[in-house]
Amino acid sequence: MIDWVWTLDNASMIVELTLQHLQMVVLSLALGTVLTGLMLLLAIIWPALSNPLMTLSSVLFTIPSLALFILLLPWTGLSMTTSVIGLTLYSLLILLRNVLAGLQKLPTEILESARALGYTRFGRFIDIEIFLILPALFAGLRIASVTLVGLVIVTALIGQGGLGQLMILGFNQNFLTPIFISLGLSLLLSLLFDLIITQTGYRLTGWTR
Amino acid sequence: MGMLTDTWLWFLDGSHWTGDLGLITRFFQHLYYVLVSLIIAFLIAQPLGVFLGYLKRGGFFIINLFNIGQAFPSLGIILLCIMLFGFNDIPVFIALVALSIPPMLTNTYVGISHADQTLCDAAKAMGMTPLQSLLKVRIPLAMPLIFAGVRTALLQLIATAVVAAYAGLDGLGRFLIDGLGQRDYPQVIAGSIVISLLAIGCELLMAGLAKRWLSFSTPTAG
Amino acid sequence: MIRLENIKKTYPGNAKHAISSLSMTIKEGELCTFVGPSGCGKTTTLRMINQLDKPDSGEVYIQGQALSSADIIQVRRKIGFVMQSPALFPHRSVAENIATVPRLLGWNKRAISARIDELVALMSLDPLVLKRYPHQLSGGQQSRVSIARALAADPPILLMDEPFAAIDPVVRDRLQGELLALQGRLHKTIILVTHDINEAIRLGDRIAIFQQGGRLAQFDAPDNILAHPASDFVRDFIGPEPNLKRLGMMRVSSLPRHDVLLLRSDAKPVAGEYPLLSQSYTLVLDAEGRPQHWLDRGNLAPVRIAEEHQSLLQVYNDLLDVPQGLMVRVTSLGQYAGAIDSRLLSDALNRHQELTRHD
Repeated sequence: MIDWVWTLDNASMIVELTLQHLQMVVLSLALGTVLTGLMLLLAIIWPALSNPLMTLSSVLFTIPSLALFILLLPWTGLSMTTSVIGLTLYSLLILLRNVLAGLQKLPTEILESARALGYTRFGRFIDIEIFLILPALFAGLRIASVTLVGLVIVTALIGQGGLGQLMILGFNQNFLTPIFISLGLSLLLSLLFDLIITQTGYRLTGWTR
Repeated sequence: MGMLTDTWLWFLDGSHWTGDLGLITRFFQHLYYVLVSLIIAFLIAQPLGVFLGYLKRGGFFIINLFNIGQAFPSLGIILLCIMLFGFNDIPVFIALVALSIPPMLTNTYVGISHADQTLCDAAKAMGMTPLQSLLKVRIPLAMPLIFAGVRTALLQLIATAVVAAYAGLDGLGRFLIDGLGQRDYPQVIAGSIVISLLAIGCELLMAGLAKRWLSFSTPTAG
Repeated sequence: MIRLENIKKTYPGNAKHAISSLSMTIKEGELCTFVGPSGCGKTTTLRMINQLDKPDSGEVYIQGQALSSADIIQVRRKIGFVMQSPALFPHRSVAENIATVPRLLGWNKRAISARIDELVALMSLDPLVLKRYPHQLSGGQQSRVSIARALAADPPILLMDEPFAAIDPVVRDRLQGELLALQGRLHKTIILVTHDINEAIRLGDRIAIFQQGGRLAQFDAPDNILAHPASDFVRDFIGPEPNLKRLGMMRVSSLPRHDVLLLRSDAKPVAGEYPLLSQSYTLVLDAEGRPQHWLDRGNLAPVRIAEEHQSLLQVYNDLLDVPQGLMVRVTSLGQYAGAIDSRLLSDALNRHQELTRHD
């Protein structure tokens, strides 16, 4: 089923596309995490924001990815910027949902005991809340990374796409090999991200064991 | 913002609404693909999920199937199916159905297998047969999760059907794919707007139904 | 030390459980217990002392300073707070948990380390526990760590909100005893909220009994409350057999000495210097002065003894077993130190009443 000769011949293109794919995911995840941190801070300072934020992110999340990317068109055209913005938005949506849920699940007696001991609001955030939210953040990062790997493929339809380009190539030439290669590699990437994030999360949350 | 005005103008053009290539036709085509796939997947996933959930077998397999399903890009699956099985609707339906089974199967399985044990024991103690306890206790208890699974599958289908247009499928995705090919951006944006509205509308509908039918809150699982 | 003045609080949508107007003063160095039915406002009142809840009107004064105009963060760092759930920070080790307030106050590492060692000894903790994480500890251990954390910066005031409610009875009994011993050494001002009247009686120097609406039904020493309940509500609340509870609070050592007829083993009578309880029985002592048996019209009867530290409730209970109605007090060496009968016990109760009435 797989034409290995073709694969070897085009190895450099495949590698390049894989790297592009990786770059897009990592960049969007990083931007998404930073934005999530900002939103989290906002949600803590103004708790009333928490629910509207969740509703808004739920609504945005229902929009099919391709449509969402395209809605950015009038402002950013069909460029890498569009893709990255769209991908960042998606990672923000996923991370925010998880982090806000984690925030709501924070055990109140621990926060209250921190208050009673004499922590300032900010001190409580830095010393306690951030750590307690970490598990939720990492759960979100896992989901986000896997989702992003899949979404980058969709961006192939608007001109970027990383491994998605292999799929289009295969489809256009009625050639199965690139499709299998891209499916296999994207699966591998997903597993890789999942593994790295799980391990990092495990290291950082030593107290849950 | 010329593009936005152009999009607005595109909407105002009546010819874009009617006819074989019009918004209305394609809207219903999209619904057709989504609903048919959903129903077929439903008929497969639910009984299987209930059965396996009751026996508490195969959980490991199901959860992993779900995770792999999430990891596989849907576009890839669709293209693969078409190339393997031919260039018509059937392979696409196969792909769409295959992609919608995992969320429903997983949620139903988890809902049935993790139904509150004390309540199930109470049912047994009252003298219900396994079938009765299943129908009267387990399934109602699992309804929030089952419903959440259908909801996820529905939205996933709407999105995948859009992308499937690349493989030749009709429906609202056509505006996007054709428009991109023709560089007819107002068409593309207009199509995206309609798709977004469809998705948001379905989500709101499902949320409303959840609130109406399920007196307890719907968990966001799967 | 802690003064509440005209505290009022209402909860939106819950008119019944408001606090209508509460004023009270808690003395320095006393262990004060707050009791009352659920919803009476005892926990809310406690929480207003470190401003976890704010009164709608009225003022809380701590050592003369009004809370409303104080830097509440600094005030809180000088008040220890223990809740029903240990609420230890799960992401920090036991040692780090205990060090929380000292760190906030900027103590240096050596001072913190020394203090932790002190607290480990004080709270009877196993030093091995210091490196572990809260979820690895038992409930009783977590409670002790929670108290250690509250005491870490040596605050003059300690607030405890049903700290032992979720602990099993055996451990709870031990922890109560440890708290009493601790207070004996530290003399802090402690306010402890409990729903258990027996715990309140055992622990409190004074008990504040709350009624619905945050009203103080009675605020007095336990013995006074038991002997002179201020209202039917208090009478019902302290429960049945208040006299038995009072007996439980008194020790044999507080009884005045009374004697009985004594005979040494060599049949020589011994003169007692104290009033005689009864003429019907004679107690035979051995050469070291330890009681051997009773002589009752020529018959021998066994002796029941009472030690100085025992509670009068226990003595009363044991007396019921003794046909003669007499028990013998002994010193720690087992030597005769007097006798006890039930009349002596009720005199003690009544005398105690008179004594405390003059307080």
